[in-house]
Amino acid sequence: MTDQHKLHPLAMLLFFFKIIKNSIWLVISGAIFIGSFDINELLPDQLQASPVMFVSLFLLVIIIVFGFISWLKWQRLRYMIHPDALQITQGIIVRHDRTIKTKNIHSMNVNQHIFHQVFNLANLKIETAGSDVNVDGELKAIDFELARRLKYQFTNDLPLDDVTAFAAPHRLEDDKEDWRSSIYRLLAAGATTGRIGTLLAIAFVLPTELSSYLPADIYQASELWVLKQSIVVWVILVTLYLIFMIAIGVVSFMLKYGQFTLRREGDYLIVKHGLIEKKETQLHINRIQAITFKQNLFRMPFGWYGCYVDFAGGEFDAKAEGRLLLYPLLRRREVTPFLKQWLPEYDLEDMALERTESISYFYRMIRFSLLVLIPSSIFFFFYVRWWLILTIASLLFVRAGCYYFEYRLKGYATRGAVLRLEYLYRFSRCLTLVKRKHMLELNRIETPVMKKLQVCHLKFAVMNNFVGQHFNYRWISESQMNKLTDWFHKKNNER
Amino acid sequence: MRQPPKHQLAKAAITVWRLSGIITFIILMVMAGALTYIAYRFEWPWFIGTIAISLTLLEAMLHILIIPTIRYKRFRYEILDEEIYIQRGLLIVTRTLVPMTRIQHVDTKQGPILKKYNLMTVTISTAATTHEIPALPSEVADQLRNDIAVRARVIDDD
Repeated sequence: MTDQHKLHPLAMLLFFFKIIKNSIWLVISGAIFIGSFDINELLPDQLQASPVMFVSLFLLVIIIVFGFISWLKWQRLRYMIHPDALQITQGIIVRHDRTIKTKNIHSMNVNQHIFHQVFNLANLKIETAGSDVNVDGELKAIDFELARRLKYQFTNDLPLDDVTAFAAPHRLEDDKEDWRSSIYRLLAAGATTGRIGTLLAIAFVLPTELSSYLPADIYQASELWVLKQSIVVWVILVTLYLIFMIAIGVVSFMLKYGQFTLRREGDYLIVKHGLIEKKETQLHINRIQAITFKQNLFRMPFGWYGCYVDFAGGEFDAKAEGRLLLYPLLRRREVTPFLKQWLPEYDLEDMALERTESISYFYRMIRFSLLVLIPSSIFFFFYVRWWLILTIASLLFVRAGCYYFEYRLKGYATRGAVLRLEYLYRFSRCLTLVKRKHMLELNRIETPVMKKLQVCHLKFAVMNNFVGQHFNYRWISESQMNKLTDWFHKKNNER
Repeated sequence: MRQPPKHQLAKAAITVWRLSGIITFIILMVMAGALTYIAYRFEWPWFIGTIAISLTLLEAMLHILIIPTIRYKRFRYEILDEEIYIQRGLLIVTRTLVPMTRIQHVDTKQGPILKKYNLMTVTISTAATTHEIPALPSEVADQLRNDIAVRARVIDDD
């Protein structure tokens, strides 16, 4: 079945949107240029018109040209399904003919945007080892059933063109049950995501900025009204305002991660989510380089974790820092069952943590105290108030508390070929699991003082789809570092 | 990583770094001189020229006199059976262990100054990081590059 297929005509619209999106600034600046330039001077009397006319004419021409390009693109794009490869021919003037062998394909991702859902279509993205979308293949709009079928054939190592073999049950028999996120879980995840912090920061800045954007009389009138209200009304208003901001965060999270489902098909993990844009990401377990369970500041009191994976290859998404959200929210006691079911090789049951040496925390406390105390005592020499001293003292106290917390929580353990690290990173509590064979290098970093104290930093990198993910595990003792080095050395004996 | 790596770079590395320090110094000095002249010509405050020249002198002192020796002392490398072991740094010393199996490619390169002293730089790249062994004698560098390439392949082949 090596017939040439065309994409669904909807692809034209998608191409069109993409061109518009890529050249929006050019179009806008062109429109502004035409609007501000007096064309009438150049034209005979009969053709004179208002600038609005010329701008709309310009936009019309742009739309027609772009529409024509999209039509040509759609017309010229053909794909063929071979038993062991997908062939895509495209290009308006220069023809690109690309054959992607199944054995080189890392994953096939089926995404459905809202337009796709109307016509029961899907976007099939084919990822190879490269991180360039132009190198990988993308079929913008094909029949949803065909996309699923291709993916099924690919996942199960069957010939791609053998569509009759496709049976209705989409799952293999021995697959364990899917994990579906309940709506409550997603709401909880959305309400405690890191973005809430950003939104709250905006919430605090916004009122002060309003005065410069609102017309003066409206601002003054509302200010007067606010000042007249009682404290109870104020409290209610502020609460409502904050709830509204949090709701924005929750709703955007729900739109992106709604109906979150995690499933395993053969050697692939399949992550599905999205309300408006339905995304389905396929990840071969061998591509997973490291797993991180992360607890941000909001989730710490509840002991909730989000699970992220670093993986090799695939398109780089700057927003996600090259990581994939594997599961939005896990309670602490669910982490072990989660790993057991989905990534049994990383199981961390009964893995005793070894704490870091306390001496480095004392050293850091002394260093911090000196940094604070020396300038402040010089300052106090000229100007001293009891509340200033109190502030400094409480600052030191809080810092000491932070160090103690870090000491309690930080630790590492190794079992077999897996390294488990627990640490604080940017106010988040992290638990990282990484296999020895995925660590590209091991760094030991020390300063002269650290050498005296016999402590050092550990740093290593794993591959991902961009410049690699670097992990820092700081302030461990030299003997622990030596143990870890020995563990790292073993690799070659038991690959 | 209990002991530092065994081998040091070629002694001429210090001279090479000093030479490149001197070249940078000359370029910076010309720029600082031009700035001082402009400041004088347009009657800008006198401290602009002073700061520019003293910063250049300070930089020269660091890069010509102090840093090359420390860098030479600190930098060490060793090719183990299955790993490459590098130590580098000035105040903050980093020791790196790169397994042969993770190495993607090895490059050697040579600029004009290095060429004059018959030295080469070896660059070792993994999927996410690159490491440099600067200023090795050409023969050693070539040998090392081939050595690493062969070992990396042998281990990979199994």
